[in-house]
Amino acid sequence: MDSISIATLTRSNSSSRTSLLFNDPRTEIEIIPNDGSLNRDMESLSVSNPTSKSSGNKLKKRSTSEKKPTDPKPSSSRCLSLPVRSNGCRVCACDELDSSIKTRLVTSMEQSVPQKSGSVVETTTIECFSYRKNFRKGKRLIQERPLSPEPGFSLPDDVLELILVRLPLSSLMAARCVCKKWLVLTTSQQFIQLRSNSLGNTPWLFLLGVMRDESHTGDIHALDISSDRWHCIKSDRLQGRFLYSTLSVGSDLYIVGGCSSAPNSIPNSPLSLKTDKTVLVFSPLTGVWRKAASMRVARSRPVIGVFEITPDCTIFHNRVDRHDQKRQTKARLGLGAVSDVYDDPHQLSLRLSLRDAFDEDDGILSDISKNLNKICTGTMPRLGLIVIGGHGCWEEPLDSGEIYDSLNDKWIDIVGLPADFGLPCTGTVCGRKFYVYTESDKLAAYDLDLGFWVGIQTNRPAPRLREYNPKIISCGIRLFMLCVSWCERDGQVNRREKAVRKVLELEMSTAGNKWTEVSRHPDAPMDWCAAYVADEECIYGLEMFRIFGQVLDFVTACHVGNGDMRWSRVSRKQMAHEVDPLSCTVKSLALLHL
Amino acid sequence: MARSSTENMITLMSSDGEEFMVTEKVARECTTIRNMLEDDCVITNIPLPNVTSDILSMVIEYCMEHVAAAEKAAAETAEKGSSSAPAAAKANKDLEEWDKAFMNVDVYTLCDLILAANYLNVSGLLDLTIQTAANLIKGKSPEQIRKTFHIQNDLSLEEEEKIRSQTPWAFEKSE
Repeated sequence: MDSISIATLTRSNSSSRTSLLFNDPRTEIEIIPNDGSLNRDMESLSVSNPTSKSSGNKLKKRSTSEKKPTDPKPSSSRCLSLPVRSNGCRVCACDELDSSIKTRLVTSMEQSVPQKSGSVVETTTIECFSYRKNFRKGKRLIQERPLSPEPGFSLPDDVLELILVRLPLSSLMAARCVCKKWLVLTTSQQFIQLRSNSLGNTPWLFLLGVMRDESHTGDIHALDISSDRWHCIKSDRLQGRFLYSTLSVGSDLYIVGGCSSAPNSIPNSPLSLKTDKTVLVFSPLTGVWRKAASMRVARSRPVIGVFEITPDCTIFHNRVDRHDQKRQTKARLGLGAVSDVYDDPHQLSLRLSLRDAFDEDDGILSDISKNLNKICTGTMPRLGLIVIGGHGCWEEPLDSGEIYDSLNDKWIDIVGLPADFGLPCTGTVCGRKFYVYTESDKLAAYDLDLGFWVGIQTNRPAPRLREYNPKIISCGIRLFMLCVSWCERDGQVNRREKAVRKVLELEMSTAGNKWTEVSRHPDAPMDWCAAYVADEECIYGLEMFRIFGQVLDFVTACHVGNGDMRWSRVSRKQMAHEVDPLSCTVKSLALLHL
Repeated sequence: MARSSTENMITLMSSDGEEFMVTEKVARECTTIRNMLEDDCVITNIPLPNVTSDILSMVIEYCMEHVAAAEKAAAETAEKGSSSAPAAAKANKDLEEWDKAFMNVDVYTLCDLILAANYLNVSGLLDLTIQTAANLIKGKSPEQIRKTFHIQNDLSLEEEEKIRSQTPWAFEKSE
């Protein structure tokens, strides 16, 4: 026995120990702990050769340090793993084994013998299989001894991908750090698309625009609803910017418009503010920021919605030039949807932003940054962003609108909301229409396929309290409005009663469209600018307000699917206790499934 | 299983030359074998060079349990005319329990099972094993994951640091 074989022993010991942690308990029970045997074996192995002696001692030290008082079994597995690697001590190790295992092994071996002759057609499957079952236990026990050097957890990439795609986001991020293969797999474009369609992702609320010490820090606070945990995403991209609108598009976060204080200007004067026309896109999955094309008009707090641009959309038809048409057919046919013409400037900007994160000559990481490039510009479904209203450069209210096409990264003007509707204050896409609710309590809808506005006549809901911003949101095909009004009693408005936040649903029928109350928020409305977002089945709300000198935030949710539409608290964790009270009015909320 | 003698028996041969007699119904749980049977109906002996005998025995065990459960549910429905919800729920729960116990294996066996389920295309087993593997990763640090799956870390410290700095918020325990 020379030093080399001792070294292999050491390796086999450590690996078999960890493998046993995940053993079948049935087999674990069968192995009788046999603590002393290993040390004795090692002593018998370590011959006078000084190097082997030292490694043997090292091993002894290690085995004692690794031995946990609560779990004596691992050391017994070492004894099991020994015989295979070193032929010399096979007998001695087997002698140390509990005799019951030996007999079990032998009987199971014997049982397997008749099986091998293929002439057991007469025996029924159950009998036949019960043989196998016993055999398996014995066999698996034998398998506990690794015959070849441990192969590691090796699965083909496509299967490994199936596993990784089921991980929640925080586990996925940890998995990225495991090894290069996993990193490359989990950052590929294919993987991210696969994951966005899988059921493994969970809702995350992103809260933007939180202020600290009277400054717009640009931090994004993300609430992982499934694990009830707030995370803070530090970023200077949004620093100093406020009054923007946010929207989730796929797995990206779009930040549209907003204001920022202009440099070298007198603070607190209207001229000191610069209204922004830029659109930033943040991908939480990759941590990458990029810039989309800027809007044609600078807007703060525009009303925005997202929709899929289908081939039926005629809005674009009379505007697209020949080149665009060619590209559209290409995309429809599923051919390489990335064309060089619009792709290049984009990649350039992205590469610049990535340069901070990666060194270009970093080998694997530069490959990944290329992948991320592709994700950002690649073959996502063609989505459109519709933006309407907001305030312009001189704080003037806007009634114009525009639409962004994600495929060619371009904005086009659309007809503005007709002036008699008033100023748009909230909007959402529901079905193939973009609904807008105005300050003067009128509802209009923009047909996203044909490109025109229609007014929607509804009954007059109970007068809302003007101080509180109304909010319309869509859940699947249902359209809801959240607004605050005085509590009614017997149809009479009673001002002595408290104010309540109601959820109204628009019921559309040929007889007339009607807002009907479907739910009431249990909390007294404290936040004038409460933020609400919704996915297919759930409405999430965030109220943030200052009370008793402290800023508190409340995240609530309401399942639309079940009949009574009750609200419940989502998180009891407070993230807002140190924020500036002004955050309440400038915050914005977005929902992503990550 | 009383009808097993009248049913078609199929012999599956593992990579190490062991033969397993199963009913056609059980074998049909594997989409790969089902396709083979549909292509050529007289086939009775199927060699499976990618699956070892002990893993194949586990796959068959899984298929048999699930075929038996499905048969039992079908028989109950036929008996009563309509399936009773609580009984079906209980049967489902039992099967889930069985699956859970069945998945009590070490990572190597799990890995082999995933490969076999993928090769034989047993959708239920593939789903079960993959979910089990995903559950093993969940909530662990990169170091713990490596230890669990015996993976060598081939990322340099700098590279790992860069990945972490990309999305540092995801690594935070809490705010």
